Amino acid sequence: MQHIHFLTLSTSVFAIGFLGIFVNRKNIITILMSIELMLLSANINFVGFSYLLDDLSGQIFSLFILVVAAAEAAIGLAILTIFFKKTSSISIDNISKLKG
Amino acid sequence: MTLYFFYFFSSIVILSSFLVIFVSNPVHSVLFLIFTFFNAAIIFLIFQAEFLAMTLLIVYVGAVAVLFLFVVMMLNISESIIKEGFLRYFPFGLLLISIFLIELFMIFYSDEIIFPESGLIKINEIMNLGMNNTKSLGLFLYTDYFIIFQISGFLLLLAMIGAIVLAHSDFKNPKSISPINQKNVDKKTIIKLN
Repeated sequence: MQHIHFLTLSTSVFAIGFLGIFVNRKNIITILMSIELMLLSANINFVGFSYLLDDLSGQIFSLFILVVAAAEAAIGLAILTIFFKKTSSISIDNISKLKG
Repeated sequence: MTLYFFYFFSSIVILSSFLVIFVSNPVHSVLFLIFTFFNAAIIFLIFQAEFLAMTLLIVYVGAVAVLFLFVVMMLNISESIIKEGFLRYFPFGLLLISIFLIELFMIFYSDEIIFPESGLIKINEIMNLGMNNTKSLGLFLYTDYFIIFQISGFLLLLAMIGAIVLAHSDFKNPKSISPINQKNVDKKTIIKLN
């Protein structure tokens, strides 16, 4: 398996996540899911290069990406719930109310 | 043979991650996200990263995706709001992402990429010592990467505290009953006989 295979896969998933942020400008939950997809593509890249270069460091750093993704999801969803409680919508247009 | 498996599961990953974005119902979107993570775990298995595949299942499917599903179902979002502004931003996003993809694939197919000959921690040498993937990961995670491991644990603690503080903001009118008030109740004040 060459590097081009998993690089194509991870780039495609990253591009789809990037596109999701632009497409769903009205919905914060889908934007959070797009960020998860982008982090997953970074993980695929790390693990793929770990397999290709026969190096374990890629898998270790992929584990740290998992930690950061979990923390980010928890904080993001907490902010989302409190935002929905205040404005009773999850539209991006109202997000400037987060300034307080 | 492995390559065909890789092609099959990676096409499923790409297809289902497309559906994550374009499906109008957010619940279906989260379910497709779970499906994407399942297939990404299988791709990790193809890359011989067994521990990370199982961690991906436990962390993402077990915790993060269920958290997403819980929030989506709790918020009760109407579908009509979501599809507004689709055509307004789609061409701009497509333009940006096509530029990005063209740049990246020009790099991937160029001959000037040089990979290092040997890695820092060679997997083959560790496997020859009779260790499996999980054991070798633990061996290097708790020694060489110990500081980063501690910092990541601290990051998770911070995220937990932050999420609790953010979500538990209404201290004024709590729905729960205080245990002290509950304990001080006696039958003379509660039960009334007319």
